[in-house]
Amino acid sequence: MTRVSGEKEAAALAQPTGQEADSPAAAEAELQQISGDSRALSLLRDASLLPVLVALIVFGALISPYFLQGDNFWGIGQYASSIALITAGEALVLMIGSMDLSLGGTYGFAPMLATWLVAPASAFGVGLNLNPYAGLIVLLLAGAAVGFVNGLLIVKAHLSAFIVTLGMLIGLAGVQDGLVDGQTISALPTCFSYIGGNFWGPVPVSLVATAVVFVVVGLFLRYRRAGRAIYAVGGSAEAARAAGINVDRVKIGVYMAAGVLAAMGGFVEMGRDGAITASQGYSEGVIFIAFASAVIGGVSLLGGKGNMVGVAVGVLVLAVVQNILDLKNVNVFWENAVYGLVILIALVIARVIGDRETQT
Amino acid sequence: MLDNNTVAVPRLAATHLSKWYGHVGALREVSVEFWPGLTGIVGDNGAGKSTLLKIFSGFEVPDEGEVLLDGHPVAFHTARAARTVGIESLYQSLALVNTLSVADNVFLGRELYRRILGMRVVDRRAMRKDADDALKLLRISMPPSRVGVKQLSGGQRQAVALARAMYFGARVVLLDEPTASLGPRETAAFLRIIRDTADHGETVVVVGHNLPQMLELADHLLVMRAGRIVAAFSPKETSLRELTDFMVGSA
Ligand SMILES: Nc1ncnc2c1ncn2[C@@H]1O[C@H](COP(=O)(O)OP(=O)(O)OP(=O)(O)O)[C@@H](O)[C@H]1O
Ligand SMILES: [Mg+2]
Repeated sequence: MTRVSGEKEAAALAQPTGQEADSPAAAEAELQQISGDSRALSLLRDASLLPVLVALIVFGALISPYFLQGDNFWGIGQYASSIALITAGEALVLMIGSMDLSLGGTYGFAPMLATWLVAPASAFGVGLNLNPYAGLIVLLLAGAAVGFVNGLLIVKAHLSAFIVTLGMLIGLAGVQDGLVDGQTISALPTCFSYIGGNFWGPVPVSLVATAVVFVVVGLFLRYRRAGRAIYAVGGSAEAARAAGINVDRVKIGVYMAAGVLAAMGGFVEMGRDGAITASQGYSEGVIFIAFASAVIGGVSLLGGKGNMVGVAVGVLVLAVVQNILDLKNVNVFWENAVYGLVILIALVIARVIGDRETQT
Repeated sequence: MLDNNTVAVPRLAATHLSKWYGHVGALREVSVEFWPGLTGIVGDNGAGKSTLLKIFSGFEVPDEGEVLLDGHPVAFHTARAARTVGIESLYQSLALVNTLSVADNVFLGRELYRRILGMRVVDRRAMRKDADDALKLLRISMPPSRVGVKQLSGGQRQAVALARAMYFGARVVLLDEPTASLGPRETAAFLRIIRDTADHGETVVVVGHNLPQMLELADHLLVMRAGRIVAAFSPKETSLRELTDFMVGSA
């Protein structure tokens, strides 16, 4: 029996759909046909929620004449930039099959720490008057350091990611508060507010900067070995390990990258506000928006799936919804209820579309 | 398979391998040789078959004894190290990442590159093409390699793992109950593939519980019991009856 070789057994391995071609030639023809249009398809698939975004924009334009006007439209982009950065971080962590609540804390803590070191004592700074550019480095290092500690505790000490990052979230928010006794530092050096607050023509600098970051992260995920390893680790840590991937290192690296992205997001938000408040991040619940945006954008909570195009669309969908709610002056007490409902609906749509997908 | 073989040393061998799990002697002083062709290993549950394969594939480290590849001692502590010297093992669920495409799985951890502006980037198109080609060699019907592995049947998944091994020039392929979760038709097809692979000159080692199947498939049969190899046969010179007797220890 085992010596018999030929099409009969070959056919037995075909997919049980019964649609598989019978002869090798026909199978090959079908194969060519399937792979022919794949590139156009894969770009579309990455942005499966794009139609929803377009529909929302049309809807917004219909219900408010102000919606499509330059300063509102680009304002959405500016608002979405900081959210997009922290969401990119959360998306990476979700892709390895974990979660990081502490990004919400880093989003406030890292810019607060940097500003506190830079600002004069009279403006609630510590009085060191650190060079602002050194402050920038501190900001990024703080994000990486928080991620590193998270990674060590989760990966090496095998503690629950939920508990570790929850503790870290609350702890960071406490330090953020404590540094300035709950005050706001609004004496920002120019280079702290430039990216978040300035415009090139009508275009917010933050939007351009964020787009660059997204392109870099997206290309990294798609075309670098370490990027492919992130998908592999999230899809099956065991198989990744068997393939020789250093799973622990990939995971810790992702927590650190996520921390840096969250710090950058907080930095942009600080620039947009022109101030760093004690409530930025944790108290305003930004982490929930980041989670929702990532998942709406097609990142699987189970790991191994997601991409930056999807994340960008997910962020924009929620940002547009937020903007429409603001424009319509929805009763502020009810706004969150509407927002929550929209998130649930978007998740359902994303799931329905996402289930048809096959690829990362 | 040995008649036209000019190699004087076995491709893979072990001397006096012992492995203990606490008080359980999973392997006791096992010495064995694997030559090109297909060697089947049979034995009762807990006989030590999987432990033996795990040591050869770098998943376990023996307490005593030595592994020899082409007559030279080798020692590895990771699956990666074993793969580097050409020893590939197929474990049905362990080996593949469901969320990745077939091509990504074939090249997992060993991606192909091209240069763009002097930077090394993963060459996804080349990986898809090579994966398709490697799978075509196995003469099985497969969807294009950009499709996700989770859409494959059990047999197709095994084929992907085998194609990966072959693509990277495996010298030894180790399979632990490869057809355990396959239906009859898929089993037949997959056995045909590994038989082809062995005929092609590879050294293939298969652990299996289906004795008639193993008798038909293998060039050599080893029987394990309680951590030892208790018999070695050519399938032609033994019978179901004799195998069973050795397995349970009544021979
Ligand atoms: N990781 C482990 N920890 C403790 N004991 C183990 C471990 N792996 C194997 N053993 C023991 O070693 C012995 C040999 O196990 P092994 O898995 O090699 O058997 P096997 O021949 O593959 O059996 P089966 O046919 O059931 O797969 C068994 O008694 C088993 O319980
Ligand atoms: Mg076993």
